[in-house]
Amino acid sequence: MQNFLKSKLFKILFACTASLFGIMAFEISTNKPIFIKTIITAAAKPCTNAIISAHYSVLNFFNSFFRNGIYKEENEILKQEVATLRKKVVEYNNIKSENVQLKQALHIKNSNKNFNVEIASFVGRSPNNFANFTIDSGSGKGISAGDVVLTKNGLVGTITNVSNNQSTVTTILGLDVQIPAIDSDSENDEKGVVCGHAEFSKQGFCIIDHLNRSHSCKVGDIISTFGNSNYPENIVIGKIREIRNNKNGMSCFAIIEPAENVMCVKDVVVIKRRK
Amino acid sequence: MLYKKWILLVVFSFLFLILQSTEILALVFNAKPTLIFPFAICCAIFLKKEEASILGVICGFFLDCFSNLIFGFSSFILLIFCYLASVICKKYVNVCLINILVLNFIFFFFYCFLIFIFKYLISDFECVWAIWLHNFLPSIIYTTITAPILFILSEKICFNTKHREKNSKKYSKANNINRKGKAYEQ
Repeated sequence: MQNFLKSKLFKILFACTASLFGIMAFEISTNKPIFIKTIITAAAKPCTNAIISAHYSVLNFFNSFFRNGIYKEENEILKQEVATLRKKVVEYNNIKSENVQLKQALHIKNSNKNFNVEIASFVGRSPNNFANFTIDSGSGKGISAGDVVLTKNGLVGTITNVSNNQSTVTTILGLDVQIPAIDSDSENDEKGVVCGHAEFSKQGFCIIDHLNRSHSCKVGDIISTFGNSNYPENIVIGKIREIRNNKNGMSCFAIIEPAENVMCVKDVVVIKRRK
Repeated sequence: MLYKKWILLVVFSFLFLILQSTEILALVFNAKPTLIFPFAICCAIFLKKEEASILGVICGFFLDCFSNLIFGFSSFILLIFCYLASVICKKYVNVCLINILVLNFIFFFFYCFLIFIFKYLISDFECVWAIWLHNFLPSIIYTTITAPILFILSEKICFNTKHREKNSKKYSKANNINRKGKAYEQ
């Protein structure tokens, strides 16, 4: 026993055991990685990366010969999945646009609680006629001539012709539209009538006519509906772009830039009049 | 010549560390072999007790690097096992394939069981024995199966280098050749 304790083997074993216990105690107490581990890990990392990339290169090379059948099957399955997903994307887009329409309608309905609203979509327009277009709702949904058509941006026009499932909208650019309006931004709340004008309608502008000579309107004022039994109040029509005198010299009119580009509407809300 | 053996042992241990850490080795029943352990045991059979202990410490460091255990735990276990393997194979058993398989199985089983106790059993996880059955046991069997191949390799490294060392000493003594290889007259 004494010989063993004095032997070289015992010294080596003792030294190794003591140093290992020291290392373990150090790691437990400090919770930091030992430098030996750091060195070995750092040396192993590039070798591991090299072997993994070589392994995958060889696998891919052989896979191209032996797994063609599997890839073909997988390709067919993925193609079907893509087709299904495309249909879902189209459905999603439709639902999304319907959601936007409904939100607009809800906003307008909340603003005009005394009126009923109906959502409709643009169907078509005559190429030579900028003032009218057709929507896909008609008397079947309770729409009648004279109902106001608008979007979330502002007033678009009124219903002029109605059939069972279609209606014609005459926009605010139309010459035969007459909408009572008010300039709330002016000092005296100037009132007038919004209608189309032969000269300006082709440029996409309408006018508010019958303004007093001593009006207090100015460029940039917002024009909105006045509100009566036919038209809900405070629907934005547009903003004043220019003010001119009438030819008779007795009154003035203002050129209005509509809030909604009536040449590009897709979805509209029809406010059905109270009956 | 002496350092050549140790260089080879460290290089092969490092190589086995890389191999067992990557996806090159095929998974069998969701298990991969731990190559360093049987390599250390097989090399320890051919080494002296002191050398076997040092080899156990070195291989244990490699084992601890990518494991989730306290650094030094595997080194301590392998230090003891390599010493025991060296003693057992020199004094009590013959060096043959069956004995190597049994020795590796017992040592690795005990090593895995220790890890299982300290890592899972003490923490009182649910269904811990399922971990033993599905993770540890396949790993033990797979590692034991690789022992014969590693035994042949370790024999080549340890025995041949040792044999060459002995032969080179005898040769130089017999032919009166000095260290630089030049003959001299007595």
